[in-house]
Amino acid sequence: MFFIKLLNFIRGYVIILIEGAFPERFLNICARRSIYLWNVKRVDKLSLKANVSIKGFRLMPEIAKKARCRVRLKGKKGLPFILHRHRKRKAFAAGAAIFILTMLVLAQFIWVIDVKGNINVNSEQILQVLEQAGLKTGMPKGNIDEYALQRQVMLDIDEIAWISVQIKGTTAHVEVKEREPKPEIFPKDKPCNIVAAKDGVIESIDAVSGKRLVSAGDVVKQGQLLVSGALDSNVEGVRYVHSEASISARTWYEFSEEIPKYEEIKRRTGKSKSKHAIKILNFYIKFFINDRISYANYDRISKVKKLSFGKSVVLPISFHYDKYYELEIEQKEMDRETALKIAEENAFKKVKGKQIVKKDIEKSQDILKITYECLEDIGVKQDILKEENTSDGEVSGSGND
Amino acid sequence: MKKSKKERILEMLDIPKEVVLDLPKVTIYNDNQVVVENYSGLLEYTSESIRLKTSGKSISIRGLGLELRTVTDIDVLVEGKIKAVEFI
Repeated sequence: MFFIKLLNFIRGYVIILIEGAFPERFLNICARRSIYLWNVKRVDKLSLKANVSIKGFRLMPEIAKKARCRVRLKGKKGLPFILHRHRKRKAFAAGAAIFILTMLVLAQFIWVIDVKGNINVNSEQILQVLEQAGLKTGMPKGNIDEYALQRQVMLDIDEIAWISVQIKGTTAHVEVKEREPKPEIFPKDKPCNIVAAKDGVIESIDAVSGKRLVSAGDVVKQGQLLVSGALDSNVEGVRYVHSEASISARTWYEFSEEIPKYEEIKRRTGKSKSKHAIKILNFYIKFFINDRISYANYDRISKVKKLSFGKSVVLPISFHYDKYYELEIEQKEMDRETALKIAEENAFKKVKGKQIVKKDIEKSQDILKITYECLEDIGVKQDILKEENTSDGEVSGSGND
Repeated sequence: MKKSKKERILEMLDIPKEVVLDLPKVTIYNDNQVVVENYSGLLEYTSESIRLKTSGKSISIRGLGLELRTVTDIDVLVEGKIKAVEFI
């Protein structure tokens, strides 16, 4: 029903009054000639009111004559009449024409590039490559070769496995899929040693293959050989194997955390300033005179609204609303309990995920010294450098000390 | 009542009768709307009563504040407080 009304409004219609002894005859003739009448109402004994299209109204005099009725115009409704009423206002017409033209022209360019799907690769980087390949904001839509863009990005950024560029309205939707990083697996058939990744004390060591060079209770240094893949035998000579071992070692982590004395409490004073601006292309039209914010501390709340038709046609015009709230920062002395807690939490964050066996805390006035004793696997597989066979022996020798 | 030969054939073939025989089809929605398709002319129109000529019997609609929402050469849509629809 709404669409019929809208259509009637756009096409325009007139309200007519049909007067005569027999207005039914008039309606019949109209129906036979396919003139569409609607909202026909009986006004009184001799007259009817009806709506009819502009085209239909032109045929009325003839029909009225035939039906021996009089047709009077009661009202004109719709867009054609509104336009006709304002036909002499040239500036108005020119303004409307310029507006429509500007919209049409602006809709031919790309104004927004929306990058989605990237996790590790920076959006900036993708945008930069796209710009080099020929996609940037403000360029005409017609010049875009989506396949060339896709190819270029895939070539330039290794981490990207797949990319799609879709243009909808004035927005270019760029969707990327990143390549999964290669898992670091030491090939099973390749001979290797196992060395210590960290300093620590071996808690338990169980070599499945390879020669164990340290035993439980040994102190090891970072980089020290723990399990050797070079097996020396009297019968066969040196043989290289892929070492496999489960190693658990005690490690220590020491942190000194500052114990906070004061805490800052921010409070809005209630004073605020607004700065609004309109951005057209890359130019800002500012609606404020004083550029400086006199507050020492403030919160800035920014809102940006882009002018758009629907979701896809975004125009290069945006409204920027900035509001600055003055803040009052009060330093309040913190009680020791919570201050210690905060310091400890800061330290704990650094050993997250490790199995903690013991912790030692040493407090001073403003520093919290905390030592965590952890249990972890410190073994890391490493290639065997065959030329340095002798040096291998040296390392193992020092491990036995 | 006996049906005509034509009507019997159409019924057998499941063809909508109002199309072939040019008979009126009357649709009544609740007590506020009546649609008459396949009418041939308006005989009377006041806000209390509407009479329509069809190829069969003429149809009389009685009610209060009757309006012709749309009038075309094949159908009329009547709105208002409908009291009765009669074939006379």
